Amino acid sequence: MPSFITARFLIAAIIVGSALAYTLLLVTVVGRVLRGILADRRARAERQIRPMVLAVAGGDPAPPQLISLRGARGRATERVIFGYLAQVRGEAADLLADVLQRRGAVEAILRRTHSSWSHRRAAAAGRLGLIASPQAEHRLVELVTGDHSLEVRIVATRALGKTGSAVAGVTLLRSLSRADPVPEGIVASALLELGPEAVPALREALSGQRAGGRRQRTMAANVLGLLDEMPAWQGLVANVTSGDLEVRASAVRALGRLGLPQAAAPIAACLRSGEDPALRAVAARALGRIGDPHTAPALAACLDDPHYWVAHNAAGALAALGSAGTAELAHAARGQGPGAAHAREALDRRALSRGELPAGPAAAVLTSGPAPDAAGLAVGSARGGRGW
Amino acid sequence: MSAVAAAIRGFAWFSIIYFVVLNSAYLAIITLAAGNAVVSRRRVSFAGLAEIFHSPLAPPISVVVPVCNMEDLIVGSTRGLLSLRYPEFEVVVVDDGSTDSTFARLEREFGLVEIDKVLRDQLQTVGRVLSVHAPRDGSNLLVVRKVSMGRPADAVNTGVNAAQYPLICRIDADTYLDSDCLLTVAKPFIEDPDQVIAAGATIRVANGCEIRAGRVIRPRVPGGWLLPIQAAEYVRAFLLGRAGWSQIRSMLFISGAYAVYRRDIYELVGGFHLDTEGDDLELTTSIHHRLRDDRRPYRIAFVPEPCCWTVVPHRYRRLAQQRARWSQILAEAIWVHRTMLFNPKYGAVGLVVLPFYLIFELVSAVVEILAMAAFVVGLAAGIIDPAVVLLFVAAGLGYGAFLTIVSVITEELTYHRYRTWRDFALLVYAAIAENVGFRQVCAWWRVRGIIDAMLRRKAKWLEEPGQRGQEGPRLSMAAGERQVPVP
Amino acid sequence: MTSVLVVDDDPDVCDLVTYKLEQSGFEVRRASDGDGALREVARRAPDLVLLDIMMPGISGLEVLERWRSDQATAGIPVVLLTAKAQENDVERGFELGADDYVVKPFSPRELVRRVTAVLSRRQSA
Repeated sequence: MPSFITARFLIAAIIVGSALAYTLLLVTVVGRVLRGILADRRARAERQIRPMVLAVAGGDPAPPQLISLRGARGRATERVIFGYLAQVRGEAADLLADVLQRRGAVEAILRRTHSSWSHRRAAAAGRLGLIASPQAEHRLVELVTGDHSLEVRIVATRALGKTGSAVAGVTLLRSLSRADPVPEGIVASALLELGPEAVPALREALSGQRAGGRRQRTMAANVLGLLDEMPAWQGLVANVTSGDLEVRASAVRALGRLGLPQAAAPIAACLRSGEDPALRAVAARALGRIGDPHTAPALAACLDDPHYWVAHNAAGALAALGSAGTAELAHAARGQGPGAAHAREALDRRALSRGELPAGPAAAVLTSGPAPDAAGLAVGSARGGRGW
Repeated sequence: MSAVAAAIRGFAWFSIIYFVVLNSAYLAIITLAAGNAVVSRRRVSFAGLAEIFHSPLAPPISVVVPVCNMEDLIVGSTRGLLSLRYPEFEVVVVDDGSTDSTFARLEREFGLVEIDKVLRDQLQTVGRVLSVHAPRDGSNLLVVRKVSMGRPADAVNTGVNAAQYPLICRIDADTYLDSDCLLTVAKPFIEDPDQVIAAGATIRVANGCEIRAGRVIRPRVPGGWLLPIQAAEYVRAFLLGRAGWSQIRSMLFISGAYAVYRRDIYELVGGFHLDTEGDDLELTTSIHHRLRDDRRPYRIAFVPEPCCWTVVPHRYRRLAQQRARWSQILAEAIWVHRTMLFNPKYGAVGLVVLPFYLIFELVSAVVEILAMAAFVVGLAAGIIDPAVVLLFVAAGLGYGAFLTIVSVITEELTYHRYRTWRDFALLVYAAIAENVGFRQVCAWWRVRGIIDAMLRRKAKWLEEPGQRGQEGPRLSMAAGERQVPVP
Repeated sequence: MTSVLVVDDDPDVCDLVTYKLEQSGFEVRRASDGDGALREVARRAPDLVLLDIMMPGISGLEVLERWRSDQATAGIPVVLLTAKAQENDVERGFELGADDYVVKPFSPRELVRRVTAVLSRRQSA
């Protein structure tokens, strides 16, 4: 290859490369400095505004400057107000929201929710969540139901959780049916934040006249359990006996959290050997939380189950059932096989939690390796002591 | 003679073009990542960590820690893990046949007593479990003692068999976690419990940082030669790894990542495979392979906040072993999953990511070594113009340094964890120093790793099928391999 | 003048509560973390403490526990400030001897009412 071409390549490469590198370094340095200056300026502007906003949040009427400030100080005002709106409710929140309304900020935010930029709509939606007005909520409902950007719908979902009204609950549940739904964890968090306001919609979705589909029922069951909503127990029990597996499991889980003895019998029925092992494992766990000693025999029957979690959870549940459960465990522990091992483990754990010394591993038969037996369990429990 | 000369010249030009393409591809990915990072900062952030801590939706996590002969580190490390902020989690320490006082110290510190424990056998393990212990005070710690097979993968799988929670996080004893680390990485699982099956976070280098009570208090770039270069490498590697790949939903966790997996998926692919060295890269590749085969919708999330700090080798020999091992892992992973390569059935992972790793990550070591040889011979024999050599230096090394500097600047503008000017200057220096000797030596070690991988394959063919599963140490790894010097 | 100690790591909340309480005629001192709170109380015992539970370093519950176990400070009325999701911490707070609690987001007026109520309850007891 002719060497002058190479030389040209080389020179060009070095020049371009160095130029880019220097530019980037310059950008970084400038960026750092600018960042510092901006932060300082923001802090200064806010320092002047804060006392005035504080007074409003404390119940004083708003000074006229707060309403009329524009430009950088105006933006600072709104930033500070939103900061406090996140911390207060009741009269203080109303007063602050009123200032925003008089500044025209609420109008501006509502307008911005129609912007063609999704990140602007999202930011505006986030702020709407802090403004407790039917107008704001209405717009958020529209965004959750109809916006085509997933990011906006996510922010609107979270914001709806903050507005705290029954309409929000209905909208959130309905949004689960979409083809491209907001991730369910986000909907669940929003429903949890709504709390008691969402309960009517949740109960309706679970077992009302217009009960929802699988996703709605599962979500409703989960959230009702997490909200400790005991009056909903009958609706939950209705979903335990039959139906979609996921719905049944979440209803059982919720009933376990509520801990009501009325639910013990229907849940114990789920322990039958014909049922799905995942459901039976959840049922065993729930029975442990409910703590009804009459369920001990049904749980003891599960100790020898070939599925690990069924047996493990049954043993754990028996340990929480008082003397009836412990008796079953002690009886099973004397036997051989995996059920006995689960029983012994549960007894050891129970001892530790009560500050007692565990019995420790029995002098079981030592195998030369973790040979999986037909039940799919490694009989790998060790011999007593620490020999090698 | 002229045929040889032509070959050398031809290869010289090929290597120049190869590195220009490679670095340009990296630059494109980094720009994507940088853009993504800037945009995501504007996004409204998720609930604060305090809210996650009290969220009933936070799934419980089992932290599995395989250890072997780490008597100095183990107590501090375990204490640090037990004091992580998370609503419900357990720590499972697997003592993989330690011959020192690792277990004795644990026993004394936590008042361990032996308990009966039924282990699952979903995951194939080889080393026999000797005993399982729990603390007297009932805190959520489990210590499993087993016979060492010289494989950390075996210890991790054993730990997962003993774990009780639906999320698994594997941590080495020489890694420092920020106290909110579990909260940070649990976010994607809370938001999208259906689809998210694994989540990774950024790791940075712990050496040189101010550490107190098992926590990194102030991140700092270490001084010297090997250490700041590795610090810069980690900044670059995580930027590259998370960028375009996570955008097109085809992330692969790179070696040494900090990752949390959903336990059922981990078990579905059989955990860390005992035939391979066992690493997150191979595991995520298996996950992509299996889930796309099964046509299950899934997502691997990446949480870009740095919350995990690892001790990197500061001695030449340890570094060499590490790089050779990483290369071997990559080669083995690509070989084991070779049916995915260029296969549209596997989407972007098969069409883009894996081939990229093969052509640019794995093979680049070979190209680099051969190029160096070609240039040295060519210069000596007068076949190659010195200008061409300089062109290679610019295209390969200069461009490479430039990339690293861009990564460092992106980190600077986004997460800004390294606060001082000194840190920034050290990273820039490291970006340049890396290309003057470090990467050449690394290339040599990586080639050795590839050779190791190839030899291993040969060894497997020679072996009888029935010999699998027997006790007795396997091929290369010595029991003391996992030792890491205290910084 | 009745003195109140406000302990919260969020400066906005501290500002708000301080303002409202001062408006209602209380003397207000502030602390932004557990250590600061312990120091302030040791220096001069206030008539009531408004204590945030979730703080970096020592949590509010730990601080409360320490006060209750010390003769000199066991009698100081304490009102807990908690975030909505922390209601199970409130149980623990009551076990440790807290007098009342206020959930954030809160109404400043209601907060003052609660503080006054607790103080008058204590005085009449």
